[in-house]
Amino acid sequence: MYIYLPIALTSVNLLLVVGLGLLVGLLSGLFGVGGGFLMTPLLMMIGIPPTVAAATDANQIVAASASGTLAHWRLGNVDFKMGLLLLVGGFAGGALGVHVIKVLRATGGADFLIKMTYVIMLGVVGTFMFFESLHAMKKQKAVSLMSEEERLEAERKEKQKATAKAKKKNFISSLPFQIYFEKSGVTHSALLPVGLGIFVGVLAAIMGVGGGFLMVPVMIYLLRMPMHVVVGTSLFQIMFTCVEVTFLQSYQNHTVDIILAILLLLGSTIGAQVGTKLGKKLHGDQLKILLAMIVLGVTIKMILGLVLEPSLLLAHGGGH
Amino acid sequence: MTRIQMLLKTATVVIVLLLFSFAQASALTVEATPGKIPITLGYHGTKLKVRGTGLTTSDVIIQISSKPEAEHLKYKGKAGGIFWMKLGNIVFENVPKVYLVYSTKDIHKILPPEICRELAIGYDALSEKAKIKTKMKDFDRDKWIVEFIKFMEEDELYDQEDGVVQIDQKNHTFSVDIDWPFEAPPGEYVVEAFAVENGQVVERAQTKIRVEKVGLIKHLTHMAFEKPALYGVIAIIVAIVAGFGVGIVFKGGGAH
Repeated sequence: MYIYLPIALTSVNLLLVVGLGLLVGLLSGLFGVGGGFLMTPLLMMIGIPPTVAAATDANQIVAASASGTLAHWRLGNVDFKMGLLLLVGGFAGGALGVHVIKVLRATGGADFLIKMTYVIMLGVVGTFMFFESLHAMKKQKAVSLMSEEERLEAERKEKQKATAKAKKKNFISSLPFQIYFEKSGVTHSALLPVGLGIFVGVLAAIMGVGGGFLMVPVMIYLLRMPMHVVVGTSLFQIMFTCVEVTFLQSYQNHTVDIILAILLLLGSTIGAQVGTKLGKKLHGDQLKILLAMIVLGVTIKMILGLVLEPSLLLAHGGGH
Repeated sequence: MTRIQMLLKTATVVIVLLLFSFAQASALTVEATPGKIPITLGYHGTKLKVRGTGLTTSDVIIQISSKPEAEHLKYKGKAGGIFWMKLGNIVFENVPKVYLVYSTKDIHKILPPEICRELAIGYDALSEKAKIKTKMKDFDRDKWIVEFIKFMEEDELYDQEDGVVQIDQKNHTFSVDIDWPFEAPPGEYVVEAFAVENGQVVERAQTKIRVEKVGLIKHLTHMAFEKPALYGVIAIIVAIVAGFGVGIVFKGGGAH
């Protein structure tokens, strides 16, 4: 069964589009990423113009992240305080990033910078997460094989290391506006999540994505939040970012295809719920290693796309 | 018979012959069904039947095209000698968005190139009429015209096929069934039939078809462009309601 899309000006297979939504929604619920870095290229592959693909993707992410946020909120996995601070930074960073892109487009070579930023960021994040999770899983296996005495000794050493590390973090802990985030069980200056939000916002705007796949590692490794709270909080933040993007794209560029968005969100909202439930059954490190593998897979595909000669030397404008 | 009578007789014969040939020339007709193609929610292109009568020649060419316009695209190339990516803008001017040519035989075998050029029939004529604007270094016009046609063919908006038009010489009719591409945008298209004999176009006829959005598709397009703020708010509300709605339904499943 086919459905015609009034803004994309093309006809698509209903089941194929709902299936894409289901797949990306599943990833969204599992990892707390919006899935923009996957969905936009997939939509372009089925013939959606790049500008419509990117804008409509933001619209469907609103649904998937709303569904995911609700599911995680019920599980007590959303740190609203942290989410709001990251959001403030994200909005500011997004505006800054859009300006950076404008300047770069005027000077030329923006496309090259966007593509390279994409490959480098995805590659670095994916590789780091992969090896870190692998290391954590190996360590856990080793701990399970230790005797009680050996385990206590290892824990003592670990605590010593953590204390030494904490002392080194004097600069961050000396920042003003220190807040205790109950849900995440961490204390940080409010400036830290705002600053990190700006950093991710700038990169996300340059790369033209929601930034979930950057925000998740930032929360895990820099804000030291527990994995399950990270997923819920990330979805909460993504939902607001994508509401803003959907409105601006509809208002300024007329590129949101509401029919396509509805088809995608039919799949993605259900996928997000299934993903959340599946996520509960998987260990944090297993989740991280899975996400790392997906991110690395996308990176490899992008590198191949950059190195191999394309079959068509012409393309429509827009997109990533 | 006087000289005047002879002149009158000759003139009458000439007039009759002229009238006969005029009647024959205007006898070629072409019809496309459906003449109006509605774009509904379930639209996935349509079967377009092109039929004609009054054909006295052994070959015919059918050409369907939209009005010439500018196509703004990006060209790809190697950046830094390593990476393939979009490098800049390229504009193809004076080219139709849709261009479909069907014939009984290879058009290069039934019509000389100068006639094809004069009557704008076929890819070669289209290529010659196109204007290309780009700031590309070492620009090769021929290469990029070929790439353009390849690009449009990939989207099924361009096609040139021979041996697909059927002729019934006994009834002087011709016909071809076309898979009208859903990628063709709304608008008006000209369907032309050229009757070909001995390297000449001896008769031609034309008709028009119209592709237009109707119903929900029309209303949504109107809202997206005329009331974009309302459209954006509706898109957001639909997404949030759907997201929360599915969330509530799943809670009903009692999984938590």
